[in-house]
Amino acid sequence: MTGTLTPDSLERHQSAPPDQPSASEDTPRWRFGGGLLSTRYGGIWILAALVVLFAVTESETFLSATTLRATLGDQAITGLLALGVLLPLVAGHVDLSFASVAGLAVILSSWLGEHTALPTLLIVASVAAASALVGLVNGLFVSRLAVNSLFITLGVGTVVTGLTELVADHNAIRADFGEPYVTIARGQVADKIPYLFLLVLGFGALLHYLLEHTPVGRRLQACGGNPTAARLAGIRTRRIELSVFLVSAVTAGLTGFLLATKVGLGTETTTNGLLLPASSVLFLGATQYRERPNVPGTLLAMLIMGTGIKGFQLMGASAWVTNFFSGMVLLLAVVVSRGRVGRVR
Amino acid sequence: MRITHGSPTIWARRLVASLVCAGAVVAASATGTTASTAPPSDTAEGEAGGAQADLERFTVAPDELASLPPITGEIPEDLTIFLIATGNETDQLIGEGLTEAAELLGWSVEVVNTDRRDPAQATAAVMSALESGADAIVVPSVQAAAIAEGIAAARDQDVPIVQIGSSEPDEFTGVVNAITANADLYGQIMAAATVADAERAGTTAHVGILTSGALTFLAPVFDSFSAQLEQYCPDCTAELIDAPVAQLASGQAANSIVSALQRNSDLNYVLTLGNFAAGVRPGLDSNGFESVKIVGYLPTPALLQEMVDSPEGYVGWVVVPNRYDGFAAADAVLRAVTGGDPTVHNEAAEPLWILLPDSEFDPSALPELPFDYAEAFAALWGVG
Repeated sequence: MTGTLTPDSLERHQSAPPDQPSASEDTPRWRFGGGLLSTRYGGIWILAALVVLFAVTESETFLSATTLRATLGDQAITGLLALGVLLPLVAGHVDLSFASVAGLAVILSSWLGEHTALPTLLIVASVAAASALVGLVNGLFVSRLAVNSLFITLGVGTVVTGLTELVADHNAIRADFGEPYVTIARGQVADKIPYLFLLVLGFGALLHYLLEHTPVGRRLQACGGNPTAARLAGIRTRRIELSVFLVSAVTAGLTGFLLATKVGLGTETTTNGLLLPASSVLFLGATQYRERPNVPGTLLAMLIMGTGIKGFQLMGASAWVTNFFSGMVLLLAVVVSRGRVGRVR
Repeated sequence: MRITHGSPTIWARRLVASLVCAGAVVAASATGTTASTAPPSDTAEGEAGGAQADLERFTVAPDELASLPPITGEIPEDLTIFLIATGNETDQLIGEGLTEAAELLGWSVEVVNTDRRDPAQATAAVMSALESGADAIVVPSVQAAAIAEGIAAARDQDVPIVQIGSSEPDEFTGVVNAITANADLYGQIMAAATVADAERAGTTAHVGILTSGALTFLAPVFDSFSAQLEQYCPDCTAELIDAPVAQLASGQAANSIVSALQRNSDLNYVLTLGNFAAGVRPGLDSNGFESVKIVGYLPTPALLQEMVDSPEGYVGWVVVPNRYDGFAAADAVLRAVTGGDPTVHNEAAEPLWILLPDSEFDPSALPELPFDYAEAFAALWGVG
């Protein structure tokens, strides 16, 4: 590249146009074709294969409104968490505290609802504020002290888990926030599409627009691609790093509130099983469509995970199969991505 | 760079693809019904048509102390009992009962808070209690195998250990509310309630039992339920719903239950332990299974409130007088230190009863026995 390095020129260099592969020379393509047959669209074929498989083997139960409703509803929480954590990943960082933050939100919102007379909106605001505080801590450590995000978010997440146990005191707390929150968390449109899933689509659309069509998104990707060059080009990398952790934590917190409303009870273990599924969705999604963390890939991965798990459950598979499937999906995603999914700093 | 056959990349992909295919084959072979019905129990009291009569008996909380042998020997003074607790509502009630009983005996109670779900922490708590000079140790809701090292150390120091709610007690320990000894009673009460509810509705009970293969301590109660169900109603069925432990602990068990209901549309009841029931009712309702009812045991106050709010969605909850268990644990300790038999409660029937949606109770707290058992125990011990 010749000429003066400017923020705009750097962003154009870092962001590959959508109709061309990324700068990597080893973009995987099948020998006999490309396009839809490339691995970055392989998820579509996997989803199609799963649908066909279960439609054939479980024809009476799989192709039903109940299956659609249950699958989309079950995966919505995972999808929201994965979308929230997408931003740090785009910026080149990892946030492992999201499940813990969601867990704290579950307990905190349940406790406030059960023991105070606060209106629900104020409870939501309190939960968002508490989550933002956690995000702020993560962001400050990463942006100001240059601590590896993997370790700091793991540590902060462990502290948050302890706080959750402190608030919960090993008790189950009722989470009853009335309407319209119960409808949002448990209701469906036309008895088929959960409102939570529509929330995922809406949030995903917003994120996609931000990442792909705004200068903010390009700066985020520049940070993730080459933070040094981005900083030298005048991009405020520290501010971006702080912001992505804030957004990730607040998203996790609000998702925790929705989960508490969906389940109707808050316990300290409510979000225990969410770290692996959301991470699997995130990393599998990063191998699709753009070969970097992206919203359409994440949503596709969410559907793949949900369809696979639901299908095996309908087949009567033992409980271990679910964990096995989730783990294999993550393994596959990591191998296929071969480190192209951002560089964790 | 073109991918060649010799490239490490393509070999890694082939390896992963092979693992995925192998996994798919294994997973496919692991599918199929996980139905399990235990053989009829020879001790079952129920029979077809007797469910309603038995249920009426089980809805009444016991109003007198079970017959226990008298205390022989002099009661030692100033003993200290260590309670290994987690701080939840159940343990708080056990602690209240144990403390009140200890005060009657002139003893004291020290509470050690720990996460009993972690065997290492539970064992460490027992060892810490021994090092602190415990004269006796009470451990609720932990299997003996998980604290085997602690039990062995207590045995060496001749410190009695009393477990509460264990399903696999050690021969050294006294046990209150022994699950294995009371499994038939738990199962019979829930079976009677379920069959009676189905009879009132003019239907046959087909029950999905929520469990996980990894949690073997649940098996005695669930096996007993299946056997008792068949005694009351030969046409009724029970099958296991195997859910991942993470789902059970996180309130996501409704996912597995909904799939089971889709597989077997005959299922009209779900049986569950209270700790696993979070999110089940809302999950069933939001997926169109409002008519499926829940029956279970050991609920939390939050679940009792849920039953009050949605009575048509529940058969009932079998409850345990946790505060009474504290007294019973103190009684077991007393027998151990006075030369008596600390295992007298091991085979004793726990005073269980069932709360139905139309029962009168305070859902904000776990229920209590209707008689003054503190006075009864004091009379038995010759104190107070």
